[in-house]
Amino acid sequence: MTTYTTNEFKSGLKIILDGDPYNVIENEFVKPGKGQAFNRVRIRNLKTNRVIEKTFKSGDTVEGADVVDVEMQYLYQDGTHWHFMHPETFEQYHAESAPMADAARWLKGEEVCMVTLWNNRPLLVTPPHTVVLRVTRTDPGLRGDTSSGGSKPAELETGASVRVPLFIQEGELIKVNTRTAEYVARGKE
Amino acid sequence: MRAARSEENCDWRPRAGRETLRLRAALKAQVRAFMDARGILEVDTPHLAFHAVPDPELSCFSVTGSRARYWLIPSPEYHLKRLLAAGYGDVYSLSSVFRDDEVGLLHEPEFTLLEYYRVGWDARALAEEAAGLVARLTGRPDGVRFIRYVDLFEEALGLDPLTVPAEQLWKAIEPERRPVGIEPDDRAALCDFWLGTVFYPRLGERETVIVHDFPAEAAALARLDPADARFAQRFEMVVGGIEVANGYHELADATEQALRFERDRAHRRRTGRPDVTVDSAFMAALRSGLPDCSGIAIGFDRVVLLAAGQDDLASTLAFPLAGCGLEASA
Repeated sequence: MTTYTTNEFKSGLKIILDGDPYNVIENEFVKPGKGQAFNRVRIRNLKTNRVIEKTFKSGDTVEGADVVDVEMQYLYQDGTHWHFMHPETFEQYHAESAPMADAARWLKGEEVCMVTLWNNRPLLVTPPHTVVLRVTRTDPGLRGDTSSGGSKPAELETGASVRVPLFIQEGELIKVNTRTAEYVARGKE
Repeated sequence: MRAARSEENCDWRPRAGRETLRLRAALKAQVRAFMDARGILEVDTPHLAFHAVPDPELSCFSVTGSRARYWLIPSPEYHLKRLLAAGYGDVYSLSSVFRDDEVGLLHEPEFTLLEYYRVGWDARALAEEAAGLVARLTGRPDGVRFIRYVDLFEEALGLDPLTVPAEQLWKAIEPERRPVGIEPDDRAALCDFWLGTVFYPRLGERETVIVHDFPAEAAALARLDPADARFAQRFEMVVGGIEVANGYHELADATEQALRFERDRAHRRRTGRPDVTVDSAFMAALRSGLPDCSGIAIGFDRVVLLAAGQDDLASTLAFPLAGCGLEASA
């Protein structure tokens, strides 16, 4: 098992803390005069995506996390698991619902996703930055109705909900930003 | 070790802009004029020493020569005190010092220290003079606020850091902010945590703050208060949230100094730091008699940083180590 001292912490290093894998964002060395030195570190929990600040005694060691990001193609969902395939090895991986929390509502099949593997198991699935999906339900939208800021709710074929401009109709394809869950443009097949 | 870099990928250009270097040079000239006007003598002391220092939290670089092993000085203190003991009067040094394992926004392994001594002065008088110098150099207001070390804790936490059970200093930290690797009963480390990561960053926004009367355990080379031995006549100067200086009414008692060295060495052994040998020339100088004096070490690069309004020490240096992939070399 690889261990790292706090002085080796640098942006991008993956470590394990309290049983969870974290990505190091920032590491600041703090030392009062003649006293004990500390490392004030900003880290992102790779399970929850939450960023926290943690202070370590300088020189303390932590275990490294075997975490890698691999691009994989989403294949299908079988009711409990989401299945992905490595494009070169054709090896298949399946993710449970927790790693899919952000991704599930944007995927319908064949999208290339970033799968973060921890000990070779999917920890987090990040959908493509934008996806093209069909609108399955939305009100016709009244021309000249500006009370809603010129947008209306729409449900997409994957079950996701976004706000779309009034001119978008049921059955149309739209391009959506998955990071902000916002409408980008009309989509093409 | 760092892999050799190809020439194409090597950023050879200086980090600090010419304006910053010009400011740096002007501030050095100001320091020298200030010292000269007060009859304080600039001396060049060696950078190579035969002994490291026993400070519990300090690592020196060792240098292997063909005839001997040397250490790069972490401060010119021992040499300057030998000059004081020899009767050379007020002296100062403005020069590079070296500390291993200290890299960060406010730390460079090689940095410039302004260290000076005033014979016959007490800590308060020196703190006031030095605060005036720093204010002048940084172009900040002249005001100085003195606050006792324990009062920082009393004001913020309502706790006396020296008498409460150490666990209370631990419990006062929000659970998710508690430092990893520190034991809840390690009073010294917890005091350092509060001081360095919580209190100092908030201090000295408008005025210069002098934190004084450090606990006796953190006396380093300061003498203890003759009226109350729980405290040392040591102070630190904080400006704009940054600790810029550390000063003492100097300990002149050689026997007490020898005891502290042994205590520090024992601490180093306990915490797994390499042992050090005691500098016998420094000890002999103390035994022959150090005049009553106070001394201060001012982080010159941090003064430049404050004067230039920057927030990264490396940007005040032409060729910082931190900017050259030092972090990546581990």
